[in-house]
Amino acid sequence: MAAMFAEDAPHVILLQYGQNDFAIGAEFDESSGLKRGLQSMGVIVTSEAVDSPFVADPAETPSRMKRVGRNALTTLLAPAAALLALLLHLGLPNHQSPLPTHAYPVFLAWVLGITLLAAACMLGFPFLYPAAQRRLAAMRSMGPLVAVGILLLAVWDLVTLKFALLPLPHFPGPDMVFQSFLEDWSELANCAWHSLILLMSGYVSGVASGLICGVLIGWSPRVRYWGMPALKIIGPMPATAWIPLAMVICPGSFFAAMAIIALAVWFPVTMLTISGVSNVRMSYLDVARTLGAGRSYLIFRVAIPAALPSIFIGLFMGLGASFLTLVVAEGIGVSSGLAWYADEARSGMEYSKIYASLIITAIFFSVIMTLLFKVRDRVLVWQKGVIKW
Amino acid sequence: MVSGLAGVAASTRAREASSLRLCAVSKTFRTAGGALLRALDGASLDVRAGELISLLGPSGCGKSTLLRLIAGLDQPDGGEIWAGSEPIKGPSAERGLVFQDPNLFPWLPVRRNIASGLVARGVMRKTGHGVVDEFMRLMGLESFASAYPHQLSGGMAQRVALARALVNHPTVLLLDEPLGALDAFTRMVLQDEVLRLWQSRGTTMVLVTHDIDEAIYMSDRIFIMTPRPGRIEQVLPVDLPRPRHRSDAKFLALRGRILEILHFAGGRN
Repeated sequence: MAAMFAEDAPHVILLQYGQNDFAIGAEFDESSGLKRGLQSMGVIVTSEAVDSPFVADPAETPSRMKRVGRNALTTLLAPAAALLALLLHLGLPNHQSPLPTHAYPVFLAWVLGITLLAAACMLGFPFLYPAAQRRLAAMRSMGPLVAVGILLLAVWDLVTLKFALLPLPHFPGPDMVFQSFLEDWSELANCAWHSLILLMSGYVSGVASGLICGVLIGWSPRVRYWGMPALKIIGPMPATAWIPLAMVICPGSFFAAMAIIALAVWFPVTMLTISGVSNVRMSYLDVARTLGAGRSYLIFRVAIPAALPSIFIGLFMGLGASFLTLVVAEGIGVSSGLAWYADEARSGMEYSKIYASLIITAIFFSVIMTLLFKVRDRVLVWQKGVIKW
Repeated sequence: MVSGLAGVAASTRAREASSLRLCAVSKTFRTAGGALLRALDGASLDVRAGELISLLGPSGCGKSTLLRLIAGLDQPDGGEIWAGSEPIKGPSAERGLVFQDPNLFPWLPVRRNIASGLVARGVMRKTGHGVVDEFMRLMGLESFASAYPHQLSGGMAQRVALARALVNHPTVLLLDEPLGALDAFTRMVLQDEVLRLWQSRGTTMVLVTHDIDEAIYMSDRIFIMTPRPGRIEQVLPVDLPRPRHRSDAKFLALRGRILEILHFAGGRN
């Protein structure tokens, strides 16, 4: 089994060609045709297996033993934290007197079960196939984070329900907030859906117009002459300042909110696209011209790809701006959405609902941000190894 | 299909188009300080079809400027440049250019970098993959097809740049110190590769270099340039049989003569 893992472990390939030594990524597999191809060209290829913690070496060194022990400890952090939180919740008497709920202990029990199962997989079955091993290793590195997260929940439980250090109704404990989730999840899901539609329609239209403006201004000096001053005047103004006007101009509150979000996204995307397109290395354009490129090739196949790293910074800034604007824009007459939900809960003095919606909102935004990172990783994969990733 | 006669006519035209003629070409730049810099002052040269010539000289003698003018990337202030019977008005796929920096498009893997000339001219669908494969094989790049440029060594990157320029079958290949940044051994390997390409394809080549050995080893004629203002000082034919030997007595004698012309011989003044 050990041999199997050793063969399958990722390798760093070291190359020597003439006097140039260089390594090409850890991603290349030892068995790939690349190695043979290189060798056939007189390149000296040596490969070093990246040390994998799952290679069960029969002659284990003391330091390796120590590391295995430390790994086991890391693995058990999360279930231990969950168990502790559960014991604290069930064992200590309540000092606040909310309605008895079960949502929080049930949630903790689930967490305990899942983390225990994961720990068992990591410790008990070291002979899973390598891809699963790698995934588990990634999971183990999450161990301390998950543990601290659970402990924070326990602290929250202690300062509210258990010792009543924070007053009700403004600071409900996790049991009440989890209960709100259970009671209102369909409404929360509905609100998240509406927020998503509003956010995406605003973001996509903002990005589209930003890209068009950015490429035109960045490429053509004539458009730049007229466009830049307009951009400098309109751009820095917060998009939310346009709300009164948007509500008059747009046919409905949804379109008003969408227009405001689009405007907030449009400015950073335009600016960063301009900067990317106008800073394309002249030599790329020169090369393309001598290869017979016309204007559309120069713009779409040279300038825009070369500008993509900069454009993505604009996309991220625009996404941040769109979150901010979404929260404000949902206050101008839309009848569903996460920010709207929080506002309704506030007027009803239902504080546990506010917390529930805040948690959902945080997850909502962070998932969308993560998705954009994934898109970037795919589109800008050619940068990997050039810049600090 | 083209008839035999038309085919012959076309190939004669292509042959003729691959000669170059520069008449009293001058180019002036304005420096950042506002001063005028005479980069080229009345440079004239003729390159026969299928010939490999070198422009040799110290930096600042205007050899790269001259090459950019031939490529059509810049316009001369005075004089005329002809490719065959056509004046050069702008860049064209007929005249490929390879820089010292390979300038590969970092966002494209090797194979698509090489294909970019075909895509740019809109003929990828028609002639497409076969041509790209041919050049990948010719330059020994098959196993790098999906590698990104930053994963390549300098020598490999320059092979890709050569393949990318050649995939358009240019009649003239302009080389701007293409091997200047490589280590001595890789450079000698690639010199032979370029010669092999030149001999097998009959492409006219103009090589800009500041490496005297490279100029003697590679070219039919050497145009020696001197700086401030940049002009062509002397034309030396290299009458050595190929393949040439770098330690051959005639080779070394020619080397000494070029050093004399450029005042770098040292020793007695």
